[in-house]
Amino acid sequence: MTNYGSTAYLDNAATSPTPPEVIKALEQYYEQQKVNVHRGMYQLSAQVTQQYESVRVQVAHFIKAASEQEIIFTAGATAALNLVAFGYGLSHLQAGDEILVSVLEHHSNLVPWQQLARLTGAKLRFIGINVAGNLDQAQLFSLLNSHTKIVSLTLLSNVLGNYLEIAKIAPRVHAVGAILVVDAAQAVAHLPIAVQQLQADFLAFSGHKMFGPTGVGVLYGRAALLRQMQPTSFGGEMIEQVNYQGATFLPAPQKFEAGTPNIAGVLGLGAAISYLEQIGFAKIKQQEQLLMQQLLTGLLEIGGIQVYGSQRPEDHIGVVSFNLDTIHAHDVATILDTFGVAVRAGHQCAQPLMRTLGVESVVRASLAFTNQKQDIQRLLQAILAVKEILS
Amino acid sequence: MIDVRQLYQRIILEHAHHPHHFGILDDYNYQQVLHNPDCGDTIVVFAQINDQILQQVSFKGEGCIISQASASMMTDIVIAQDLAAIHQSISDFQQLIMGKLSASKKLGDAIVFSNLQQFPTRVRCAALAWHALQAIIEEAQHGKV
Repeated sequence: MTNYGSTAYLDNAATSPTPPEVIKALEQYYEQQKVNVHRGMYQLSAQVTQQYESVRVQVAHFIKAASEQEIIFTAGATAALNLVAFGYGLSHLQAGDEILVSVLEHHSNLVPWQQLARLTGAKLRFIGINVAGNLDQAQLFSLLNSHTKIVSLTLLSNVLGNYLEIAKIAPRVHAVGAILVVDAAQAVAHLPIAVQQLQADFLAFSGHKMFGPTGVGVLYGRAALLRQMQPTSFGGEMIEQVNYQGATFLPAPQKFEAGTPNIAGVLGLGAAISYLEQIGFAKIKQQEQLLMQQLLTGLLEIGGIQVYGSQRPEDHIGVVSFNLDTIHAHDVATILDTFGVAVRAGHQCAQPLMRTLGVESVVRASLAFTNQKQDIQRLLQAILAVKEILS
Repeated sequence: MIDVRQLYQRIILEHAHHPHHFGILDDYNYQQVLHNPDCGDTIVVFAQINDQILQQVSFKGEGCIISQASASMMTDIVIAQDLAAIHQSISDFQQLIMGKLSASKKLGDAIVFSNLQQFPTRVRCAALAWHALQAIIEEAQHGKV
């Protein structure tokens, strides 16, 4: 497992540690199997290609997709969401259409839609939240109309830690003829994903937030929609035939995987999935809840702490954001750092959410089941030190 | 463990909590807004420059202790100076926070930011107001780009 030395690493929402199984998969590829996939004529290449494609099958099972043909490997969740916006959205939206997102969204599930709206003349509209960070359902339902074409929502907020009941609102989204895009970047490390149950038309996540390597992620897309989607990246590997003036493309998912992929990354992703499945989400949830109970209860006992979103530990999956008195988040984080505690401070790639909360920045502590009680204890003690140093 | 009290020493806390030249000038002919992309903080620097002299300067913005203290100290150093001298001060400060300058009489209270080399994630905070001022000076010297 990644060794953070004497640091209590509480920034797992930014990226998670890497278990030995994943490191081994990366090393094995580079040390013994460094060949390309899908093109070689020798045994080793066939072997690695088969390993690579079996990760595709593995991912399909992991998120309960109907078929591995609905799994596209990307550079990450951001790349996946951009692919939906510009591969699907650009050819399906026109002026007057509407795109709905929530005020919770990470910039990666917001800025692509802003750009899509600008390019097509579509309108981007926002669903608000209540104090606990849950969607204002009445507002959502009033915003849905016959012009709504895309609704894109996070499954788990990277700031407030709340889980959105996507499955419950999906039927209303589909009833107006819109597609549902789900940003599962935060959720995928904490709870099992079932895309058909969620009724997601597209779903995106990254490997590095779920104990896998950086530079790899997944876009899930329903087969019928992938047939209608245009590639945004062209070149080798996605073509069927090329002559001087044009090319024909392979079907999905290969159509969307131009160039040499992050082969090691995909193999590492497979190892990460195996690692999580071996531990099981029930055990993961149990450990996380214990730690969150300790963290949130401890925070609320410190005078001057304001916790954002729900005040109940059970509503926070892995993540809690807070501020201390009028002290700027950067100053809190710097002092915590000198006490060996790593947290994130700033707008958390969610500036509209900051505006909704009425703040410029927050401190965010995010735990994984790999954290220990001592990590939480050190954070709480270091916060008391902040109060003392800056009083 | 780096002693964080060196960074948050009394003089810095005082400048942050009671910043000098804070607010909007009654008369100004230059202003510059800057954002810190790390945290979303915004600073606005106001200046009254005539005959290549910075006659008045102030700033507004809510930010971390480092950015506020740095802005406050900056205003003390540059006020009533000519643009060439201010240019030098900005350059000296940038050298200081990158650990390339150990002493300077001309940086006043801001010399305490020599500690910032131990806190590289905060360099942007300290530099924010100075970057805004630099943009103003360049505009005053060369016209708006």
